[in-house]
Amino acid sequence: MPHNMNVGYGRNWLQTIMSKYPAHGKSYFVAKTGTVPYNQIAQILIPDGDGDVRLFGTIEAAITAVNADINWSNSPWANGDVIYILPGTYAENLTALPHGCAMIGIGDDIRDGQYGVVIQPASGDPVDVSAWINGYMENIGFISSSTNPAFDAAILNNCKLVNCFFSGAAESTTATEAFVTNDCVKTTLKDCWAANATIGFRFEYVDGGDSISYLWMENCRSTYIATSGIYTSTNLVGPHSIVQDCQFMGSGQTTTKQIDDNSSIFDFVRCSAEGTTATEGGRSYNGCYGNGALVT
Amino acid sequence: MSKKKEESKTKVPKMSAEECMALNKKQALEVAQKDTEEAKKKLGM
Repeated sequence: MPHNMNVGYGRNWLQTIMSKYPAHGKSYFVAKTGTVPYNQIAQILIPDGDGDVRLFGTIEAAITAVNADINWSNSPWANGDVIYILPGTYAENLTALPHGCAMIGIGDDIRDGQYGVVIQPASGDPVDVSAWINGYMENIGFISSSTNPAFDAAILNNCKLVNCFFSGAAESTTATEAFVTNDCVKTTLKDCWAANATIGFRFEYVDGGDSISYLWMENCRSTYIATSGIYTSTNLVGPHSIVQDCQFMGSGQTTTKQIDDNSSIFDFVRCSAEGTTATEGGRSYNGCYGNGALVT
Repeated sequence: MSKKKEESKTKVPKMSAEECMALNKKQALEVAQKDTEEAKKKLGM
């Protein structure tokens, strides 16, 4: 076999990635314009052109293409597209996310962007959207360089986020939140990490009808948080929401109230919390520890 | 964002979980459809 049979971002590599995360709609690749991955893939795919497999230089451009292609009269309306994002640090402020679509970060390095995907603008939120629905994302880091949240989605419905990293500036708590939403139904956070912020995972009531329902957080963690690793404001309606196997730790930062569930909507299962006050509120605690003691 | 991240000082209307979820779904769909309109405008469609 020739030694360079599958070196670089060539046709074999594209096929392998598309097999691993198959799209039943269109496939969109994103690589930063001018980089080696972009130039290699541009030899195979049509940049920004029409077609089922396309290459874009920014994540925003790919999202625009996906959302423009939705026909809301169809049932189901979701086209089942996939956006594959190649490694790199993308200095973007996303104001929309792709509905009914998966966003896949290629590579596991979601804190440095060398072999993974990081979205880190110079200022402002990496993500600030009014709503994201029926979406999936995996292996993406969101880092805020300023006081803004790293990931801010007012409404988040039927979405699944896997192995995502939400963070403010390193070893700083100036970012107001790592992750924040006001209203979400049937959303899953799995293997996600919130770090370096005032609040890690924030669920904030804004107006009548806000609920956090059917939320499932599994194997998530927060570290280096000033106030609370997980927080709900009062007034949220929230049946069916489970937080399991999660760790909320100071990790070098004194956290004042690590679990602060003011709406008492979460059932905590096998979780650990460490802070000046470890836990407050909560619908129930099963097999959970606060500052090393079983929470009863 | 369509919603401001501020603690509400108004009286909370009494809504059931089902009513909350129905309202949430309606609001989310409106925003998502608006995203499509804006994306089409950007692309000159």
